[in-house]
Amino acid sequence: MTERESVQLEDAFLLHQRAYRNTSQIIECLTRDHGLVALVAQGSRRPKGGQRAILQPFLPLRISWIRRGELGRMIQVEPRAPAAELDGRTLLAGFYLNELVIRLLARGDANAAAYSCYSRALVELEAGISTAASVRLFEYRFLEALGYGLNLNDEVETDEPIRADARYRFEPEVGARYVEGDTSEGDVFWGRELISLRDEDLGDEASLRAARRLLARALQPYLGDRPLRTRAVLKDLVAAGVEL
Amino acid sequence: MTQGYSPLLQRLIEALQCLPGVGVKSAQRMVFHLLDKDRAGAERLAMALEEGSRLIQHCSLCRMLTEQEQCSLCSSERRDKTQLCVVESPADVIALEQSAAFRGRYFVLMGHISPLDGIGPAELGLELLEQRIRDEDIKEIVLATSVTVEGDATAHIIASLAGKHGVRASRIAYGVPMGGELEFIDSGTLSRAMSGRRDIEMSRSEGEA
Repeated sequence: MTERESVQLEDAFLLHQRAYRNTSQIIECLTRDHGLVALVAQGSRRPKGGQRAILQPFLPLRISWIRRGELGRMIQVEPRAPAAELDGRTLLAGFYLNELVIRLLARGDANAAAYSCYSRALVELEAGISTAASVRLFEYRFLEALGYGLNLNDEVETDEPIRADARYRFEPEVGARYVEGDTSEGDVFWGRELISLRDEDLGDEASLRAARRLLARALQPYLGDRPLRTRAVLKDLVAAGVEL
Repeated sequence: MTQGYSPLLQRLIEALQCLPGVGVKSAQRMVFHLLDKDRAGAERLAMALEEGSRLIQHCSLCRMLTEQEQCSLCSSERRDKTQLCVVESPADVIALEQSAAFRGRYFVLMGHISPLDGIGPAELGLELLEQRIRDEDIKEIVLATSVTVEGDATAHIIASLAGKHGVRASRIAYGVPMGGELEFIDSGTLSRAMSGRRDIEMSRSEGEA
């Protein structure tokens, strides 16, 4: 039998929840020191004394639980700070972040870097400078936190530094390979586009678009053939004419 | 688990387990009660289930469950056609009707947006909703989705659709419940109550004074 784990008031975010039985929920949390943790929150949906008001995404929480094996039992939950004030567009971006974390972070990977990456992204989304840039930077930093960091410093074959005015083919899990001539394929980028992502400087439209194209490719190997649901829903919303 | 029961009995027990929160034990108890204590009730239940599942559909206008083409609220002439209240479930419609606070018509989403579960605009019938916003003489959309992150996201999306067609959108108020004492209210609710505070309307004589 696996050992009983008992954790007191650890910093956490709720990523996803689903109803369980009549009055309970199963919650999926990103915790600071234990990575992804799935817990049963017993009676949390009771009309009186339930914790539904607290068990919301994007609200910094402190959670206590005990568990043996995969699914634990939530003992206590309290809010740690006011919820990130996300509205509309940033809220949907937040859902996307949540799905990425659930899909990419391996269970049992107690990844503190991933946690700080996530909470930093929420702060940036709340600050509301650029939703798209915040999401791209999250993807970039999150890959790095997972140990899949992109090498945007050197060309893979020659080890020479990336030059702004040269063109490179980006290969997922490998890096940037110098290409000759004037190709305009989907996986070819200007060196300056790679550099602006590396320097986390996505202020202008062109480098933001390039970063989106590049990160979609970089994420692909880890997502496999199961596309992200949030992405599909966002696409449907745009098709339905919702302003995001 | 239920081996040893006759095939028909077993089928009945299994069938009842399609209900949420009903496992083998509860299903057995229900079956024994129906067969042993209340045959007439069992027949009524069977008929109601058969007829209900055959005839009850979604209202073609508001997606409320009904056996008519249009539900009684939509077809009523006495409802205010300029107000449309968007709710998540048929139970919400009934709750609002009991409060008698709303005289307009409804639209039932049958859920809320939940991107991680793949529930998007198509599942919520947003196309039908937009068609109504476009074609009918609606002046105000009242968003009565639940006060959760998903409910807020849903409200935002519908408000954006309404804005596209120049229709005003409002969100129901939230905060301290009736009879609520502040010290027992969670901080999230309190902060919303505070940010959504409103002026106290003075009676006319005081206002003029």
